[in-house]
Amino acid sequence: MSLSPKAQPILDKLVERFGEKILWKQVRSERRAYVAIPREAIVECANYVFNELRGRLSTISAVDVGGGFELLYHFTFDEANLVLTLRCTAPKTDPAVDSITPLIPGAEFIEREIMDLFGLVFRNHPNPERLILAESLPPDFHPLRKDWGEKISRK
Amino acid sequence: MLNQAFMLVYFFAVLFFATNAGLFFSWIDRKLTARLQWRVGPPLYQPWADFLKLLHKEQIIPVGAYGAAFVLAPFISFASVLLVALILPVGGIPPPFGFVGDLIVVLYLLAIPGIAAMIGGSASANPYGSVGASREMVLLLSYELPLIAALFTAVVKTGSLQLAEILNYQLQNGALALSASGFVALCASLLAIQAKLSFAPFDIPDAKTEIVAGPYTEYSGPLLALFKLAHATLLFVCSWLVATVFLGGLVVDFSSAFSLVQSLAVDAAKLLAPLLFFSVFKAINPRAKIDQALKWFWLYLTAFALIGLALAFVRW
Amino acid sequence: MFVEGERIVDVKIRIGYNHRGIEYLSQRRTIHQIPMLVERICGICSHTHPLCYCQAVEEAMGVEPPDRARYIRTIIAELERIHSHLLWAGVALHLIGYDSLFMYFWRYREPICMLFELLTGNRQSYAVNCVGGVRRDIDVPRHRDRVMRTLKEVGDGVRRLEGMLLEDPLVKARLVGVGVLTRDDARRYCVVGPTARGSGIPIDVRVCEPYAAYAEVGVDIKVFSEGDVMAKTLVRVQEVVESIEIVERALDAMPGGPLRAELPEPPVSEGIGKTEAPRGENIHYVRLNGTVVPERHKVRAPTYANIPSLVPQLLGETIADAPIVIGSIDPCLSCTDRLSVVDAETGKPLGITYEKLVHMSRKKSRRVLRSA
Repeated sequence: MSLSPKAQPILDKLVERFGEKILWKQVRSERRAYVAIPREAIVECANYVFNELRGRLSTISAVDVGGGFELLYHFTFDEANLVLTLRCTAPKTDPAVDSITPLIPGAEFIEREIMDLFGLVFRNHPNPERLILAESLPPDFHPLRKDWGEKISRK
Repeated sequence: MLNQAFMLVYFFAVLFFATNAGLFFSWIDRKLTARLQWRVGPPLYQPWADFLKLLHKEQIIPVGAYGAAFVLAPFISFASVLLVALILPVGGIPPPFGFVGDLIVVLYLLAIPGIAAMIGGSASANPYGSVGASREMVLLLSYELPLIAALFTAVVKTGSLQLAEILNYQLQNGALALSASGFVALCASLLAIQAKLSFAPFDIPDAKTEIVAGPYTEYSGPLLALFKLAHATLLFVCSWLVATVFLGGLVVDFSSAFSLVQSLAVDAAKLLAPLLFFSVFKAINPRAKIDQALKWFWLYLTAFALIGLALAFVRW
Repeated sequence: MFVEGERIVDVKIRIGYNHRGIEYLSQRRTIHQIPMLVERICGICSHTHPLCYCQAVEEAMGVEPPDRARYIRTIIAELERIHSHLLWAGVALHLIGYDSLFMYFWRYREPICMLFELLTGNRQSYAVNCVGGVRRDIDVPRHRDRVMRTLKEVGDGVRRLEGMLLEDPLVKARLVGVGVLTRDDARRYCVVGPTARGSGIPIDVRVCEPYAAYAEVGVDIKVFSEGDVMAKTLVRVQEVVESIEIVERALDAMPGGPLRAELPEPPVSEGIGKTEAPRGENIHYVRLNGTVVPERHKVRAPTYANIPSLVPQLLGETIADAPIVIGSIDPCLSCTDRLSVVDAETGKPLGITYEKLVHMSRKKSRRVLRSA
């Protein structure tokens, strides 16, 4: 699989800039590219993609993969018809990544949502309040974690 | 003694007639608006049903509210409207409550429903109520000046401050609206009264999509019913005032059965004409903002009304 | 919202607690049940969510929907856009107190809902999509005349209403220059849909990433650069007219063939689906784990992306402007509040069971019947 001619340069530039940091990359179709990076590099990478490559943050998906969380930052390039997904993982023993909200205000809600639902901490988030869960819920209440159902039934 | 008995009868007759006519007018307004908006609209008994239903509802007085003012406000509002209805003259019936200078008193009384809404809104301990009250105050200040200027055009034309005299003048010389100055004043007063009735585009104090119901937010049950009744009666009374001052006034001619019917039909037409204007103008306009309304009244409508007044001085 | 007198000095957005746990539920359903579930995310854009989800799963499975299915999806999606935008226009005018035009716009929305009933059997929640294609055919020879007639009536009506909107001085006074979202802010807050197009950013998934049959029927993108409420209004009203033309073109060009593709066994894979909902870009991410139950299903509805941008739009405006400014992004709060409602004390998902709901409804019906 290869990207469309308009989308390919975007991925090339990213690889050129962060070549040694990229863990692996995958092109699933001519308009979908996935690039895995270490979680320490997410702010730097997101900054480059948002400000230099002019991508638009569509959303962030978090997935509980058992031993940790995988975060997928979906950046859309509207003119090039490309969704570039940066992915990084955080282990459950240290569930934290740097926040990109100071960089992209549009990420505020989704980061707060992930903090609520997965218990993942976004460091340096300007407004780390609860977004969708009630204030009265206990701090370790994270419904989209895979072990949430068991934890509740044990109680 | 006989005179006092007549006054009593007149009082109750007006109380009954003005409130029911008010509810009927509010039905016409609602039905007309509905038809203009491609809707079916309410049945004829709807305003009475609404009123009776509200009377049976629970009366809630909010905890933080200043109770006395909160309860008194709708009574003040209704009483002032009723007093205006008592003062307004009908040709052919000697006005038992008219007196020299009653036009000025009517002007004052007509400001009171707005003030009562302000009192009620401020006393209800509700942020929407207070915003509504402050808007009501600004609106009151902005439309009073053109209204006074418009009504004084009639005073200058007829040389009298008494409504009965204004009516008599028109009976002899034709309706004021037929003269240039009278027509200008009629237009200005209709627009100012549009704001007094808080109809769109001046439904700013109780803008329902912005501040819930403004001063009336916390009202419920019988007190709300009274406010609604006062408002419906105000609609009728304002139409009556415009008909009296500019459209030649209402006349009941008892000389024969035919002339009685004829005069009543003409009276109905004169009363319905302002109502028609209020309803249609309401239906074809969105809501202005309070600063826009203030500017518009003070700059344009006041100037317009003053032109009418000037025309009256040069006897146009 | 913090105000000083009539002026808004600070804005703090809190979205409600009416979360419905759709993502949670969807990770416990099979991929074929989920279209029915996500259809219920929103009653207004009840086509775009299942469509978006199906595209995500199709991408993960490597399946292409057949041509006829793509055309049917396009037609339903555009009809949905027409009805949604007309609904919005009515609500927006109601927010500025213009109830007559509100009723007029909704009068033209009604025939579109009737069309939906004709074509899909439902006025809302059309249940058209399934993974790999569509569930229901459109009988073109039989319905073409009725659809074209209705569309012409609605198109003429909307063009006339657009003229009324543009000429009314008070409408201008309420909409022009109010709630401005600058191009830079629009980019920083990552807004989508008509909100972005009203701020001069020409993004539209139908054009940028043509899905369904948009590549064939073509879309003319409407962009206004002012960023105020008027610009967003014009974008939407003109899109109604554009959508009507798209439906007409799609109906005439509809190819024959099957309605759904053969599906393989669910692989271990992932896919992203994107559609242009009436309110903007809608994105679903689905990860499959080799079973019929997805590992993760993430939904990002357009309002979710647009709501934070209200802060710069509201600051400095007055209370009177707040409803129309908030209304101008066409907030669909049911799409935004789509997570779990949970009982704080027991920690159990709070909810009324199906039996209990049926029981309550029956009790109510009996009460109504008795009193009548």
